[in-house]
Amino acid sequence: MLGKTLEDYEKDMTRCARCSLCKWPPLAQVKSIRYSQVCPAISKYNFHSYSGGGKMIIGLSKLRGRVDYSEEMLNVIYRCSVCGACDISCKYSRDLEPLEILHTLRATCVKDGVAPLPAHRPILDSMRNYDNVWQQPRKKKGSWAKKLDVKNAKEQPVDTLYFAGCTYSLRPEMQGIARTTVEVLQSAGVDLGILGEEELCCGSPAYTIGDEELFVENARKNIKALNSLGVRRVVTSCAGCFGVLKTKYPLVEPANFEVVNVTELLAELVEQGRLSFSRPLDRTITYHDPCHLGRQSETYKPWHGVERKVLNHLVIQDPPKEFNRGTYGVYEAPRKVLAALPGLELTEMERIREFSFCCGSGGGAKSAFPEFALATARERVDEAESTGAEMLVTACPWCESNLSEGIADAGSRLKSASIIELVSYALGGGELS
Amino acid sequence: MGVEGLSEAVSSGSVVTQKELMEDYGAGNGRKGALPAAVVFCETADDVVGLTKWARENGRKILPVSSAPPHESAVVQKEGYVVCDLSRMKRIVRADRRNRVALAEVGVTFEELDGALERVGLRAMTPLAPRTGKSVVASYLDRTPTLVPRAQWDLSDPLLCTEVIMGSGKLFRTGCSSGPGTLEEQWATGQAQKNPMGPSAFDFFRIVQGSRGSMGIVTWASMKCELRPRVHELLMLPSDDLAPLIRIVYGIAHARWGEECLILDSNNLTRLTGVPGMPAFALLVGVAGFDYRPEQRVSYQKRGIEGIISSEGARVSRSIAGVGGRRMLQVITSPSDPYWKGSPAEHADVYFLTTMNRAPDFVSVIDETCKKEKFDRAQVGLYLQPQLGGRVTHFEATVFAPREEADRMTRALAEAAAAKGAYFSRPAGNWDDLAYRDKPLLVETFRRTKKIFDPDGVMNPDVLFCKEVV
Amino acid sequence: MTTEVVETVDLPEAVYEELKGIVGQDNISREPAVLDTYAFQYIAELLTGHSYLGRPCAVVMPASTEEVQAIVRLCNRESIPYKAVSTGWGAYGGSPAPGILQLDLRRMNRILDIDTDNMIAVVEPYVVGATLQAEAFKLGLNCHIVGAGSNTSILASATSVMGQGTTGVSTGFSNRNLLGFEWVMPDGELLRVGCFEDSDEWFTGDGPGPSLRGIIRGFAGAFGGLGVFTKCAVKLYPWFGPSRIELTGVTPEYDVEMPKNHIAYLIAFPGWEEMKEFGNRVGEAEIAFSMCHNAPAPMIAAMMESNMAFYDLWKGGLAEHFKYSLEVVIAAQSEDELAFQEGVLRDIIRRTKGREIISSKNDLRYYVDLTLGLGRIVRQAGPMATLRTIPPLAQFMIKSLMAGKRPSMFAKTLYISLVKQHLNARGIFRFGGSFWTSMGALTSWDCCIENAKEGEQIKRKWIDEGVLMDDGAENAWGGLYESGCYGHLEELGVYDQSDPICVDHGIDFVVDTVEATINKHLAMSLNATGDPFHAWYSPHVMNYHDHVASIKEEFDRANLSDASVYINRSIVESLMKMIEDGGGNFNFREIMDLANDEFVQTGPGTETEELAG
Repeated sequence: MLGKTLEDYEKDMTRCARCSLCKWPPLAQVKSIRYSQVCPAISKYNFHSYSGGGKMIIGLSKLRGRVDYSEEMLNVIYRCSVCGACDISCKYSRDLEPLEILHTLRATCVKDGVAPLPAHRPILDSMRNYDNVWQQPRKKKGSWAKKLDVKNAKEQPVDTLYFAGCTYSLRPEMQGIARTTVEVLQSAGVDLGILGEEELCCGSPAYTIGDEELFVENARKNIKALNSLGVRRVVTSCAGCFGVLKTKYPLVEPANFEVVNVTELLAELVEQGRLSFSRPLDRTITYHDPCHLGRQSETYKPWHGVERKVLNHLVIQDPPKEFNRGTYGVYEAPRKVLAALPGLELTEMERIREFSFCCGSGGGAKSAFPEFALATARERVDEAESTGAEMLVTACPWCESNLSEGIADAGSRLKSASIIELVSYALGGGELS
Repeated sequence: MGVEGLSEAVSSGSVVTQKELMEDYGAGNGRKGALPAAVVFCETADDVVGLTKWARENGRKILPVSSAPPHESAVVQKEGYVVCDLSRMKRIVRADRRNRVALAEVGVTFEELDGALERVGLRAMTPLAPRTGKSVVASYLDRTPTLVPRAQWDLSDPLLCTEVIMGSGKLFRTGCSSGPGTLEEQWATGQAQKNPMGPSAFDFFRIVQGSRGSMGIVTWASMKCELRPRVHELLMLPSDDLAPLIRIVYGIAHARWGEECLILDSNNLTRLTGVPGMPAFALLVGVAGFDYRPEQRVSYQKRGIEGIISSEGARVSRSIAGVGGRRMLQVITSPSDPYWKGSPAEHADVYFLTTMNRAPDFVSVIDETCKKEKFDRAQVGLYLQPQLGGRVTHFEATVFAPREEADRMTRALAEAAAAKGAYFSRPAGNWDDLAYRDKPLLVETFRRTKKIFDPDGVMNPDVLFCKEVV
Repeated sequence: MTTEVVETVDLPEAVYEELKGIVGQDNISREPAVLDTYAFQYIAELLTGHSYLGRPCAVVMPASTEEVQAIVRLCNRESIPYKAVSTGWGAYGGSPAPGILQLDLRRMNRILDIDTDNMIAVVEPYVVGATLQAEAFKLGLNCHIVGAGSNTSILASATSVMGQGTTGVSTGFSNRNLLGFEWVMPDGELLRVGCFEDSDEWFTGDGPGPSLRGIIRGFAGAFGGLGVFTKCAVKLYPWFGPSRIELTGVTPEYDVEMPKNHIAYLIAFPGWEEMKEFGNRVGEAEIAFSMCHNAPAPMIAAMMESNMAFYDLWKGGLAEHFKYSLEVVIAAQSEDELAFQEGVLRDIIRRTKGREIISSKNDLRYYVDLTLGLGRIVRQAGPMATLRTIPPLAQFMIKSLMAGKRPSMFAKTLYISLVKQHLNARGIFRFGGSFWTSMGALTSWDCCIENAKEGEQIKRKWIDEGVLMDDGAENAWGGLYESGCYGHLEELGVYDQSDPICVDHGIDFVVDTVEATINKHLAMSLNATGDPFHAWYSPHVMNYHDHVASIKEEFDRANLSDASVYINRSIVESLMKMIEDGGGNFNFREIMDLANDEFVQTGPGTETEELAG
């Protein structure tokens, strides 16, 4: 995790069995040959080096001085959406940390000065200079909410802060979703506030690219700002923000607020009967689990122990360590919300929940290797189409954006939508494309 | 050609050179051939080793024979050959109920083996009504199909381990019989020569099997046996049409039910039973119960199989042309004397592998070829034997006619079947060349293989792939 | 940071360009970081002393037989040693010698055909057990999946390696399931073996006449030492279950909806002899879909989400309940068949003094057995051991019940692991990181049990030496094949590949077991692959090396298809002489090191005629 070095993971890397479990979903979940792969990187590039295990080996080779940086090595390391599917499949059976090693390998590249890649630099520079990833002036960050009647959490006490995130705030095609989110939550009586132009980037891109210093700086600023608000909870509708706020911020500093995803809040409101849906959707949809809402949304519990061996060579952690295996990701909440919508039929893809196939957008892949991101989206769109659904629904702006590109590129008849759009429609507001 | 030093080379076997005693191995029975230079009745593996060394030193060729006469395919083609007759090697070394395995020398016949197995509650896996005097091991070495497809896990079954004298003169044991330890030492640790694979990274038994004695001479083999049924019935389903029988065979194969499972046509049924008036085709399916709840096993399997049959709108017959199930079962599983096909002078076979769903194509081939060749279709018998759990079907046409005519027809039938994609996995007769037609690399690979184990080419070099291919 | 010296062999630029022309720019790499991910292999440390084998000169990923053939021909023209891998798991996929051209067959990943009626599948090298099974289930069929797991290549198991799986009693054995195959021979010639050139069907690979299946492999395959297999057909088997087995829950614990008429059991016995009897009877009764022995340690580990959770339970002595146990699955297609199978199974359990510990059908039995089990521990181990057992057991039971898990759920976990072979890494790799296997001959079930008994004794010594994990010593794995015609029980030794004591001495345990199989006539160990083992074993097994080496020499005259795990006559025979000269006293580690050195210097690319001369 943060601040670790490859040395810290030498034993894990050595203990990789090269079994390739990281390439498939947990094997008992393989349902067809067509959708049997779970790792976007190896699905496209095929060399073993692109798998989670392959990157562990590269880490070991680097540590042992067997290899030195090269353009191709950096390509291998960064042609990866850091989706964490390898981590889940490995940890279904092992007590290893492939995703942490993958992150540490990237962090090592950054520390050694060979990364970020040129394509990543503008993003990180933008974070430094503008506190957002889209190279937009700070004051534009609140423009999405101009016409909304919503509290400024800096000015008024609120129960719940809506953390819109850079993409929902700044991408014109996405801003409507942020507005809809606010309207829906307010209609259910949630005491909601926003930060507007004072909202900072969550720092997620810096983390996934491996710039730990920048990430920590961002996280500290955010934690401090959010802690000062006194809100009970922070709700995000961006899975990327959610993932990092929930799982990585506790590694930096303690927070005095709870982090929830909008789907969790919606599910709670549905359960409480605070949202009543009257308008039938009459659609068959399929749902894409975003990586950072699903398998990568477990709060990381810092562990400061040592490895110990008992029974000669049984490796255990002292004190016991709680591994993040994707068990407690947000899988049910979005499905509960969808199940509550009238006239909507959910037909599932084969790769879902903790072994969902990534959209391809994350980990800096979209900016540095757009062809890889698009190929990954195409793969997911193909799977969505195979369900017979008319609509591909998700809960992450990055996923929605990349999958939309995939749909367009494939000439697919699928429509993409955010879960909040369906909710709003069922409540009687807005129209669906 | 003289055979000086041969008697000394085989210590316990006897060498025969009298012409009248050697005629069984050469010309005759409507077949062309030559008299061997000698027949060596080997009684031990040492005899075979001695003979092989002698043959190498003297530039002679060996033709191995295991069954009693009349010999069908094992006929000397050229002068100077020495026949290695193993039919006197008749020890049944083990009949092992616990492991369901027998280990017998190569001269043991089906009737001899079955007698020994019956005493311990086992039965041999038999081909369709083998002729009396037929060597069990020779039959298995030829991959002759056996009657119970469910029990066949590999086309090599029921053959397991073997002792072989290679053309190089080296004695070798295959599968787990190869060691460590002697057979006795292996038995002491509970082994029973049941794994045919290896040793290590080659399966020599597969190379010997199907080679018609061209790779080595087997002196003994272990073989899978079945439990002897406590209850055993035969379900018979006559039909004028092959198609429903094929669907039923697949149904049974996919259920893994039943024991014997085969289809015979009216001609073969009549020849086997001696009873005329048989239906065009009949599916015969054995159902058995063994040591565990035998009646219950028979009951549920019968119910299941009858369900499959009734789904085709058919019903099991208690008898066919007055022949009941018990008698029919006896006929198909027991050695036949006199042999139901008659002597080699009275018939010839053509057989190949295909899949059951393609069988009707080949029946049409038979019909059309008979017509074209103006041959009486009623003199051709058909036998369809599902193998390998129903994945493969042995398709056999027997032409009942004087040898020359039979040979003409089998050639014509084989040519026509080849054109439809018949796979001649066991090349024999006057159609063996079709198996290798347009396969020069395969032939070359077989030749290179033979060179490894029989560098001087002493073992039956008349097998087609050993010859020059034009 | 240390800097390891890596011996490298460069591919001539012109050859690289030509290879690029064959496979395309995106499918070739000579980047050290990429190459190292092929040199790093499971159990490499036991062979080379560290985690890596020799680094290849390049990796190519052909997409078709034609590309494979072009590569192999180029290798022959340029005298470049090569080796193909499918999923590439294990040191057998690489070579101790640097500079081989590695063919990664991952792009050849199609199921070319499933012939439903005739129960045959035709596959390319990268089709794995999980994918073929998933597709076969949809058609009411199943395939044999080797114990290594459903992440392994169907083709590699059938043509080139070895492998036996948990459902072998009803789905056979990989060698025996091979039908037709397509073979790019070591010199680049393309040979299609079997019927499909005549019929477009692949239903057999035998004949015409002899079977070349006997050349390409035996019990073990050539491990990439005899060219490249690009397609093969395998037998499929009837599947009496649904088109998909539905799992519920989230990793790491899935619950399974048991298919109708399928029942999983864990049955324990008083000792080995009863297990012998039971196995023989179950085999001949032909009632089992699966019959398998997992020792308590891997079985408990497979149920637990982590090593820590395993340890909590293990230290309490739970294993005492089922040290001698077998897992059985029955799978019937009708209720009356199920009644027959259940009835026969109960008869056999009764006759062999077995105890049904858990089943997917019955929760009550577990509690009864547990009560009786405590009584047994009191009798056998005394009250203190019993007291030690109670807290973790009680905690486990309470935790399980609170989580809504009834004992039948554990039987269901067993069921799905036996059917899908997906928990092997959890059951064996997670403990210390690695394991190696030993003994494990394919032989009669009686002798399999003798192997297990001997293996346990030998392993105890190496546990006491601190080389292997203390898994209770008894860690035999295996089961029955082909309705019990033969079985196998291999003794697994768990170690930590990052621990020097394991790296230095892990092989010693294997050596002891090999010695026992020779001296005590326990049938040929599955370890008998590679030159050092050939040298040791061959004199005891009809000098088989001579014939295997002859095959290699005949079909790979240029000696380019990497034979590091297959055979090299000159190395085997020089090691044999060494062993003989030493009067049978020798240090196997030294022999292995010598063999490696020799191989690196003279192995790949050395013409066999020269060696023979």
